Amino acid sequence: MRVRRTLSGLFLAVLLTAVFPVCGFAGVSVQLLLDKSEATVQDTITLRLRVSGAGSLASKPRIQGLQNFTVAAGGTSSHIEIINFSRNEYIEYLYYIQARSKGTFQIGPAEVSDGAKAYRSNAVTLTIRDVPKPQDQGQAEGPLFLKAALSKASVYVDEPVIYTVRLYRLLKVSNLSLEIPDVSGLAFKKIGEPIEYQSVVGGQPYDVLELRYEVVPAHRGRYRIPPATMVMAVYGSDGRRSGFPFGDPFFSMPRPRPRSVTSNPLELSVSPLPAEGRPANFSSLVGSYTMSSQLDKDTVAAGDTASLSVTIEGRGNVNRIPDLSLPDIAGIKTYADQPDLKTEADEQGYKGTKTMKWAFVPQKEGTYVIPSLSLTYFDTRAKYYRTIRTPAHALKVLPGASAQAGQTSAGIQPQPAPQGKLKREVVEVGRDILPGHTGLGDLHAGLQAMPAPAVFWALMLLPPLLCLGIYSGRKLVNPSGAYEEHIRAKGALKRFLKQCPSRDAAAETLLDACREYFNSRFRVTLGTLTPEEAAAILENHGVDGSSRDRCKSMLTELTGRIYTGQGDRPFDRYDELVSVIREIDRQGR
Amino acid sequence: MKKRLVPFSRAGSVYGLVILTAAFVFIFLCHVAASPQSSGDELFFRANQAFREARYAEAAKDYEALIASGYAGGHLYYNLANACLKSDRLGVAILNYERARLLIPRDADLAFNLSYAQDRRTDAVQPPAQTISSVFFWLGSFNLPELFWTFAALNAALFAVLILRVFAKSDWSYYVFVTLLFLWLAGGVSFSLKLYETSSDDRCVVISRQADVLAGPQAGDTLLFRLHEGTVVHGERSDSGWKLISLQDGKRGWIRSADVGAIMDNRLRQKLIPW
Repeated sequence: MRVRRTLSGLFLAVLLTAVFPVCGFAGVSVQLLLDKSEATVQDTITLRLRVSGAGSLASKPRIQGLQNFTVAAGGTSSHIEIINFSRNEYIEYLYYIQARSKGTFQIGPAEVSDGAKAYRSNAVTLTIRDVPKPQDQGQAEGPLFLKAALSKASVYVDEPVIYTVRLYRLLKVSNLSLEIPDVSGLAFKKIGEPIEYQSVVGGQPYDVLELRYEVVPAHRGRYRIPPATMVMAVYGSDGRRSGFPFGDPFFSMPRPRPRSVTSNPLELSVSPLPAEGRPANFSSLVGSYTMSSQLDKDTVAAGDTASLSVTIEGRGNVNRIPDLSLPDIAGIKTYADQPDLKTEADEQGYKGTKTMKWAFVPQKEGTYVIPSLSLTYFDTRAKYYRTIRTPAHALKVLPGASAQAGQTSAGIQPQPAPQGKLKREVVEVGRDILPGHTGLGDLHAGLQAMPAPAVFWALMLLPPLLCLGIYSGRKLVNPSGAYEEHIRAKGALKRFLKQCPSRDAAAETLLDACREYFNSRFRVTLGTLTPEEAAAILENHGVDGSSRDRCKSMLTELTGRIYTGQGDRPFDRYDELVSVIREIDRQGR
Repeated sequence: MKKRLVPFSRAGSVYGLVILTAAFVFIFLCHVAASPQSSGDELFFRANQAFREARYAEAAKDYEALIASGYAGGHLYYNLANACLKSDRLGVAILNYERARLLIPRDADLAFNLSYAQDRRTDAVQPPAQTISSVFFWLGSFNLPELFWTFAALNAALFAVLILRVFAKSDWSYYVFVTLLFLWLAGGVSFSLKLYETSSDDRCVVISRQADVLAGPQAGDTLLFRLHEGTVVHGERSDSGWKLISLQDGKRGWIRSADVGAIMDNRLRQKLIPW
C-alpha cells in the first residue's frame, strides 16, 4: 500500500511537472501595439498594452503621447498560452483612439507598476493623414460597400505597390471571401492578416475590414485593375425589403443572406527602368537597401578560420537580392555558406534581410585584404541606380599553432580574451565515410546473438521452475511449518539479550523480556508471565528442577519489585537471571 | 509431550543439492551460449589490410567470407558495408549497414556512414515505418540479444528473491521483489516487442543500379515504376524468382528477386531468432 501511494505520488509529480513546467514568472515585459501605423482623423485605431510576467498591477497604466487623441478604454483581458511546455501569461489593456489632427505622433512609452517596480514599454509611431477626397474614398454608399486603393498610381517595373481593399459596413457579416482580380503581368501577394477598425464616412461611423496585398508589376505599361469582389453572409436589413408583412423587428429573425459587393476599378502606370546608368550586371533589384559586413576576427593563425558576414536589408522586390560572389584571394581558401533570406511583412509591404557568409582558411602568415563587395539597385525614391559597397577588411595571419606555441614559450604571454573566445559555425569542407572497426574485439562481438533454443528456454523457465520446486519441496518436507517455529525459537535468547543488554536494565523491562522469551522459545502466547506459569512451561519442556526453581524465584522477585514501585530500578540479580535463561535455552525442547 | 523437530541436516542437504545442480546447469548453459567460434582472425586482419590499401572489392570479399563462416557480428557487417560503399555498390552497402544496425544499433560511426550512404540514394522514397520502434522509442537503442539477456538476468534475480522469501520474509526483500517485478514486466514487454519487430522485419534494399517494378511476376508485365539502388522497400511474398514489394506511399509491384536483398536474411534470422 505504501509503495502504491509512493508510486501514485511520483506519477502525479511527473504529470504536474510535465504540464506546468514553469512556475512563477520569468520576467515582466510591457509591449505597446497598434493595429495600424497610418490612419486618418476619421479612423478609430486600436491600441493594445500587453503586460506579461506581472501578476497584477498596483495602478492603471500610464501611456504618454495621447494628448492629441480621443481615448476610450476597451477593457482588459487575461491570456494564458502554453507553447512547447512554456507558459506565457499576459494581461492586455485595450484602448480605442482617434486623432484630433493630422501629423506624425509618437505614442508611448507606457508605464506600469506592480507596486515594487515600474516597467516601461516601447513607443510606437502613428501617422495621421488627410481625410481622402470624396472621389478617393467615396461617399457613403449604403450600409455595405467595398473600396480598393493603390499606394502609388505610377511605379517602375518590379517596384512593389500596396493594393488595399477595405470593406465598410454598418451590418453584421460573416463568411467573408475576397476574389482578387487576376491581371496578367501583376503578381498579388497577401500582406499579413486582415485588420479591423472604425472610420467615419459621410458622417457615419463604419466598421472597416482592411486587407493588404503587395502587387509587383512584371512589365511596363498601363494596367487596369478590375474591381475586387467580396462575397459574404449579411445579417439584418441592408435597405432591402425584409419580407415581413409589417416590418416588425420584434418578430423578425436574424437570418443571414448571401451578398456580394464589388470595389472600384483602379489603374496602375508602370514605367520601365531607365537605361541610363544601368550597370551591365544589374540584377533587377528595385527599392531601397543597405548593406553591411563584418569580419569576425581580424587576426588568425594560419590554418585557423575567420568568417565574413555580409547582410543586405531593405524594401522592394527583396526576392531579387542577388547572391554576391567573392573573388578568390591568393593564399586563402574560401568556403561560401548557403545564403539566408528572411522576409517579413508589415504595413508598408515586405522587407527582407539576406545574409551571406564566407569562411576563410589562410594557408600561410601575412596580411590579406578581403575585397569590398558591391550591389547595385534602382532607388525608386531617388529615381537612379545606386551602388552600395561593403568596406574592404584586412586579415592578419599569424604563423600556425605550433609556431605560436614556440613564441609563447619564448616569453610572449597570451592575454585572456575579455569576453571569452568568439564562436563560429563549423563549415563542412568535405564528406566521406568513417573508417571500419578493425579491433579484434570487433570480430568477436559481444551480445549480438541469441542463445541456442535450449539455452533460451532454460534461462526463461529454470528460475520459475526452481522457485516452484523449492517452494513445493519445502512444503512437502515440512508441511506443518515447524521449521519456522524452530528458527524463531532459536532466536529467542538472542532477542532477550538484545532487549536487556546490561545490568542497568530495569526490572519491568526484564520481566517483559522474559515473557517475550517464553512466548518465542516455547511457542506460547502469554499476555502476562506469572512465576507459576513459567515453572509449568519449563517442566513441560524438560527443564530440570533446579533451573525451574531458580527461574521461578527470580520471576517472583521481579514481580514483587514491580508491585512495590521499584520496577524502574535495575535488577541486582541480572547476571543470575541471564545465566538461568541460558540454561533453560540449552535444556528446553 | 515431546515434539520432534525437522531433521535440519537432511533438509539442508536436499536444498543444497538442488541449488548446486541449478547453478551448475546455469553456468553450463551460459558457457555453451558464449562458446568461442573457430579462429578467423587472420582473415579479418587481411580484410582490414586490403581496405586500408584501397583494395575494397577484395576487402568486401574477405568480410563476406568471415560472415559466411559464422562471424556475423555487427562490426563485420559495418566493415563490409564500408567496403561496398567504397566499391561504388551503394545498394549492398545500405543493405549491410541496415543489417549492422540490427546488431549494433547505438554505434555512432554506423549512424554517420548510413546517413552518408542514404544521402547518395537517387529515389526520394520515404523509408518503411517501424511503428513499434517509433512508439517504444527506447527499443531502437538495443538489439534483441541485449534485451533478452537483460530480461534473463531480471528473470533470474526476480525468482532468486522469491526463493529467498520462501526461507525468510523480510521487509527489504519485499521492496526488492516489487522493484524487480516492475523491471521484469518492463523488460519482458520490451523483449517481446523487439522480438516481434525483428521476426516480422520484411524490409528489403534494392541492390541493382536500377530495377523495374512490374505489374506481375513475368517479364512481359506492365512496367509500373523504376527503383534505384539503396531504396528500402517492404518485401511481401516471392514467386519463382520475383518478389512482391510495396513502398510507404502505397505503390506496389513485382521486382526480380535478384534486384533486392532482404535485410533479415536467413543467416541473420538464424542468429537472432534461432528457434
